[in-house]
Amino acid sequence: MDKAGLTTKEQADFITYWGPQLAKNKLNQVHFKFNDDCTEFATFEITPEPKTVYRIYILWKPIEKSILLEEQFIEPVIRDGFTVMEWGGLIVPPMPTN
Amino acid sequence: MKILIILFFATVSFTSTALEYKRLPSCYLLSDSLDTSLPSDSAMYTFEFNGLSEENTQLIYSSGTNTITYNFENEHTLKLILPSGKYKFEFYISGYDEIVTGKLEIQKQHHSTYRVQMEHQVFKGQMKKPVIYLYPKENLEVSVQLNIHGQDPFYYPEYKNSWSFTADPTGQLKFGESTYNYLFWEANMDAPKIDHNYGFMVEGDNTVTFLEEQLNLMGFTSKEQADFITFWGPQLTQNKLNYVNFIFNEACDEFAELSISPQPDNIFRVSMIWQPVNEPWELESPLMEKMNRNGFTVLEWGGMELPAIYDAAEI
Repeated sequence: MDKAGLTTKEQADFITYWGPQLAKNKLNQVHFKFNDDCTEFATFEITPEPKTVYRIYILWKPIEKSILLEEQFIEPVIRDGFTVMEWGGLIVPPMPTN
Repeated sequence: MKILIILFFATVSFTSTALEYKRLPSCYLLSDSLDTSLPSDSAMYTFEFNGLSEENTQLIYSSGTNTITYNFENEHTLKLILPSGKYKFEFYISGYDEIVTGKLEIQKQHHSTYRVQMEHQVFKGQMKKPVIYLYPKENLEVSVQLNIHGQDPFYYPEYKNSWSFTADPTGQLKFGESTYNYLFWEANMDAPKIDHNYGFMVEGDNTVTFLEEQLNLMGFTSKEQADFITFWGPQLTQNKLNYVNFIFNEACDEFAELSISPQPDNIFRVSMIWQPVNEPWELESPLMEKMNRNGFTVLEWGGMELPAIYDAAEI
């Protein structure tokens, strides 16, 4: 969340929602989706048009064994002008492994 | 952070194992004596059941292959005359944990009396998202301590024996460089006892209106309402109908005691206890509380979902 550039208040909202759910499991696989990749979940229109719209979704699932993954690049929010931030997430069965 | 969580789980699993060993035996011998009035090859067991209330009239027991339903008369006692030998018994009373005894041996013409300690089945629920808001009159160094009556707590921000921070009148909590709107904790714990004669029947589709109305009456600001409703709203809306009740203030000490220094002028705590139900039943209006926002004010809200009720007759 620091890398993504969420403020501590935004982080608190995110972590108090998802944290306890992930912490229940010994191990989780976590993947993030950003911006245009989030249109598969929902699209929105905002008037007047914001200068920055940033969307971040956490996709995760509990796993039994550690698997080798390349660390994902976390796209940061650039808070320039009228900024909109949306976060969400879902528990998923399959996830990208690259 | 990750390492902390793993260590934490290791500690918890040790404690819970230790707790299991502390439990008293559920069936133990009180007395054993010769009774020559019994037929020569027979023996008598008396089981005295403890921990039941008057409504518990039915016992289901088995020893070996037979399962028998027995209705208690005046006392919660079962007397059985059996050939001498070794028997293993199972006792079941609705709403209580089932008891399975070890092999109990009895000699010819002996009368053995056993005490059977029945334990209420307690549903373990999850006290979810209690969040704590603090609004001092001016910038104030505050320390908050929680004594949670539960297991596997999760805290945010990090909790080290207490939370220590600077709060300002708008409710911003400054932990060094980081600013938060609330303190958060969550834990597994025994479900509270609820009087199902009081409360509200809330249709799923009516959840948001209902919550807005109740939270307004309690004195929540629209921001606090938004936090509450965005958390609980989607969960209640999933069901056609929910039973909803609220627990206030001192009664919330059952879940966790909260100590705040310096002492706030007003602390308001509310827990929403709810469960999906199939059919409505008649309810009386519960006693609702309203917060007083004078002086240094603290608000905590949380809640717990209980298992669904499919048959209102069980209430």
